[in-house]
Amino acid sequence: MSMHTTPITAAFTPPPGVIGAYPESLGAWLAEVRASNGLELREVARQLRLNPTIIQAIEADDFARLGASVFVRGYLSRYAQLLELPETEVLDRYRQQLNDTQAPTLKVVLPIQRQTRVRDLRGLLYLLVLGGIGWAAVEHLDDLNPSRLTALWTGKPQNSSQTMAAPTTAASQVQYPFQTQPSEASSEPLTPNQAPPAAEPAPSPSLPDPDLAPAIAVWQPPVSTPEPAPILAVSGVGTAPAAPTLSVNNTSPDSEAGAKLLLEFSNDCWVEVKDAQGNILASGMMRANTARTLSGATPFKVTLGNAPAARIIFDDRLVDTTVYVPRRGTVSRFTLDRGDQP
Amino acid sequence: MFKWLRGKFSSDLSIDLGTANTLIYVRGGGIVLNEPSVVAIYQDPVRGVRTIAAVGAEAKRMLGRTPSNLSTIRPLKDGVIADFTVTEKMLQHFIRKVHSRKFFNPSPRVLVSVPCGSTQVERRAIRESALGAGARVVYLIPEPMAAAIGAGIPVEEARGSMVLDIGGGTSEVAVISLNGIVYAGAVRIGGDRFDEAIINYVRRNFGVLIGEPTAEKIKHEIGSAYPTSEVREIEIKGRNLAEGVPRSFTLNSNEILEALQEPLSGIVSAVKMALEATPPELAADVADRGIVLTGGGALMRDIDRLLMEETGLNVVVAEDPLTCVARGGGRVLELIAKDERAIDAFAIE
Repeated sequence: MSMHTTPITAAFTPPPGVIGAYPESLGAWLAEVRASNGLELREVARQLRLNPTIIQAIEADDFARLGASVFVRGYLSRYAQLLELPETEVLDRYRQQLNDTQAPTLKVVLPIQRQTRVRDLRGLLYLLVLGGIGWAAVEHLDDLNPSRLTALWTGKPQNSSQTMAAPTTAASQVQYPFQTQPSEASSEPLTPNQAPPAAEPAPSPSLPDPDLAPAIAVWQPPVSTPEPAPILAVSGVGTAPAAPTLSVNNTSPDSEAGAKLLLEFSNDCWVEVKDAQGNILASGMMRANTARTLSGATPFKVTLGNAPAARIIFDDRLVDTTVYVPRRGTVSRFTLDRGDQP
Repeated sequence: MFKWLRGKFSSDLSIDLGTANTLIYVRGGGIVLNEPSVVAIYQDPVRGVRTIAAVGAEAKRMLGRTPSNLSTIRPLKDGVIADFTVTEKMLQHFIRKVHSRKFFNPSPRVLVSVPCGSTQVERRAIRESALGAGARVVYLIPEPMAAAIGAGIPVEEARGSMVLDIGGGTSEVAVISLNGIVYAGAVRIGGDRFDEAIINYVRRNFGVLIGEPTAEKIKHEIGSAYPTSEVREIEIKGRNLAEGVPRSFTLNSNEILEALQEPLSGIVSAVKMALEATPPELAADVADRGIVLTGGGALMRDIDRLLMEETGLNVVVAEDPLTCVARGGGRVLELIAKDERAIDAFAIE
């Protein structure tokens, strides 16, 4: 009988490199060695200071019941030491049998936070802000009109030039009489600028009297002041009769907007006209033999590209060419205003 | 400055700033640095300016063998910082060493494990030195917790586990359950005290003076915590105190066991105190599963046997006990990378 067993055990060697190729499992191997050493399970448990159920579980290969592998490794190495088995081999076989050598994943119990409520509130806040922006955009849509924006942009410099211009006009007392058409002039509502000054010096009607010193005086100076005055004070020579009644009208603001400007061109000319508020009334190329009527609040700020080709009728009065035709070149910039006499 | 930008080019680190060794674990890269916490300082003899000459293993080779203008410093003592500036420099050196890219100075998120017995001042010193070394954020977690996680103990379970971490400067014992420390105790006994005990024993019994590196060598080769039938010997050379000349002599493991009695009993009593202070349910869990040993001290021969005999409980030595703390910190880092709030479960401050 022993003849059979001895050669087999002696001849048996595990295949090189493969430790797990033993005929039995790790638990069975340990149990077998323990039995061959004549040790009781309880005795082993006592010596290892372990619960006998743990030894039972090891011998049944029920490692999952024993918990974390750090403990199982400890039990096995101690058991191997007790049975005088090679410790590393036992542990290697355990690792193979376990398959997953991964350490247990670390889990953290995070305190339950009322995060969701805060997040909801935050969302509400965003919504409110977005709503506010939208409302503001709708409310102020008109303000975002491009023409208004350009007016806002160009408005300031224009106003300043005007304030500069007004005193010079008054100081120089340069006045240019226009060909008046009394019937129409009286029917036209007049601007407040014009009327109160006109009332004083013009007690008599349209005909040039010796008394009408300002008008005559004005009549000569074009020679003495030949500069193409960029600023024109349009004197209301022929408006005197209407003055007393008009002075009442003057206070109403809508008379301000009533100024009329007729532009006629004998040749192509580039034109830009702005009213008192800086609104662009006309801007662009005017063809030869065309006319354009504009109305708005005075003073008008006029730019002509080809001034000699233009004929300007302001409030039904023809504006003298000396006013706007420059001495050199053709481009002219000037302001048309109803005469504000001192 | 630009810490955020530099942080983009840095990897998160878990640092085990130990008295004896400093280990660095890079998130996703494993343990990348394991060097002795030793710094060699060069003092300019003319100007008196002190500069770092060597750090780590290189500096350790100089330990006890330096000329007058060089000195080797172990900036950590008993698990805490003893020399703030040198610790900062050492950390800076190690952090740069693990970042191969040189373009930016690294500014990583750093997790440092600190002894649970450390005071607030000591913890603050560790935090400040890590920040000074360029860290962007510093997390501090208790060392026994990091050790337990690194050893693979399921710390999140509602089940008590006891871990004993024997380090270079301190030994810490803690009972952990549900990601928290239920009880923690620390004694300022560790590998250094073992070396010291060996030096004292040899001087007293043999009249021979030996250096720290020699004492460490004796401890590694023949040191054991429990008497066994197998007796090992080692030949040692030291300076004879009476004659003043170097002498060679032989030490055996039983003599070293005798030398280590005092520090070992200190550790054993710390464990016994912990067991006394453990709530009964958790004590039952510990009795069921046993105590897990980590740290360099766990490598001492038969220390598990000693604790087993003294406490009557099963004692298990963790796999690769030296790196447990750094690996545990690394696993916490991985958790933080997923969810920043995870640190709240472990952080000390």
